[in-house]
Amino acid sequence: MMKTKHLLLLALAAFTYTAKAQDAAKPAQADPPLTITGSVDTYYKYDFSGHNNIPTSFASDQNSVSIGMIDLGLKKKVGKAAFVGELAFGPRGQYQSIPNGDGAAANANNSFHIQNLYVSYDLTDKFNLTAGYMATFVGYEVISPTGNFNYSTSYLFTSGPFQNAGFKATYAFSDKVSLMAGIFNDNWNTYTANKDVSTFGAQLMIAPVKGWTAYFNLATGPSSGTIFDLTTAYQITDAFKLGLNGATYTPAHGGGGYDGVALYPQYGVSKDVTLGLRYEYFELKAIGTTPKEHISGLTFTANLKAGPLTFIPEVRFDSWGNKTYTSFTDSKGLATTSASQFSLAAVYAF
Amino acid sequence: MICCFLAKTSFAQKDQVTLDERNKYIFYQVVDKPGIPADTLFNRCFAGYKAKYLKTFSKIAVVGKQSIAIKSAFIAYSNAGLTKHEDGDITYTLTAEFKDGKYRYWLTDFVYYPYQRNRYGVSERSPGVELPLERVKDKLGNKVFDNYTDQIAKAGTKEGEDIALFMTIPQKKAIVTPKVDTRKW
Repeated sequence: MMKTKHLLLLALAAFTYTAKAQDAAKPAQADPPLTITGSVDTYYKYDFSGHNNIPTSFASDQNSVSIGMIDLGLKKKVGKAAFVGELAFGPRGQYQSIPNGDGAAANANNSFHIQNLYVSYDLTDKFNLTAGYMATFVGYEVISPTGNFNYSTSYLFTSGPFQNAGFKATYAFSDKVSLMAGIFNDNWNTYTANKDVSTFGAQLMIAPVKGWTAYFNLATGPSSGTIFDLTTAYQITDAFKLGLNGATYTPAHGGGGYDGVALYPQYGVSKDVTLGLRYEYFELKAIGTTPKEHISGLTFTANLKAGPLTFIPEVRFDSWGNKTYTSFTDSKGLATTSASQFSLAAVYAF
Repeated sequence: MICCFLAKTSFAQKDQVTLDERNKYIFYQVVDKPGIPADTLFNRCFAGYKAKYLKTFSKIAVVGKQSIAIKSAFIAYSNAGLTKHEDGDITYTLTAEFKDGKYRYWLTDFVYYPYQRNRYGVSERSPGVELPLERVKDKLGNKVFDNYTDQIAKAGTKEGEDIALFMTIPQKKAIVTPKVDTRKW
């Protein structure tokens, strides 16, 4: 009887070891040092019509060697409290991505240069509180060139929020499921609320299998309107990754809005070379007497890594659905449904 | 001369990470503690690790009174450039075993999880990307491999120092409160 009991205990201990050994281990909680991260980027772009056509958020200069930004981030954690401060200088990091000033006339030409400024506190190892001015939780693409595979940005990115200032709480049920809920300033992309803190935001993260994460995002408010967004990426094999972004937006007043979906397959040819594609379908909803309009884009991008430096050659083809509402013009200045451009960017991340 | 000394120390540290009979990288040490029975060594080590990991994520597994196993991890830093930043984290299994008068411990099953910077400016694991240490040299190069094995050696040395400290702390004897058995008189 005693022998059976010992055997059972050993079996239980062994099982416990196996079961616990499968838990994802996390780094020990020593305070990390102050970290400085960031990037610099520069690019050349040529639209084959001879002038700018495709309205991307960044890389907007035609036939010019131009700059994106210098991005500098500071981060420090002591015990349970942490802060992040991220500054950016240059077209991409200033007027193309963050507001000038706080809306006051005196600050109309005064960039604060702030991409992220927030503090966070771990109430427990699963429950975190964060407050401040933060990059938006919505969408697949981001402002920093180090966070995107493609150098030009999608219509979904340009049309969606860039920053949400507010307060949020995140609870990690496990490594596979977490939930964030928060309240944010009434409008997107502003340092100061216009009137109140009335945008509700939520994000459900699930990681159903290893390598696959999906984020279901919601931001809704009486001023900002309502956006539902799905952002997901699956590292299917060591070499192949597939990303997907889908969103639908309805303004708070006046009708209109947009729907869109973008697919991002990427293939790692070698440890330093990855090839990728972005296919996007973006539709502006009907508003008043204006019918809906759609545009699609196909972008071929390569990432060629040399240590911290990444070269990004890219070719992009966009096409409006109908000539009646196209914004593109050809080399002669005549309306055309299609536009194409080539760009070459260099991004150094540190 | 100082540079030579530092370089020699660095080389010696990462040389402590070698391959075992399974062709897995291992940091392995045997320590003599003459005169102390295996049970005592086990109890002190177990008590020490229970107190150390009370508030962190690592889990302790015990098999009998001969072995303690812990899954743990540390953040691996890049040594490139002027600034130090988080490259990723490296998980490992630490195992300690005890005999009369000595104990041994080793770190193995190293897996590197690279980090990427997210939109909020903090580093997090790249989903679905992990590299056993045995593949790091091929995938990331000798320089990165040497940097990580150096950090592994430091982590192993630190674990050894912790265990050595635990071994010096005698266990408190349980205080037995005298009781009267009123059934016997």
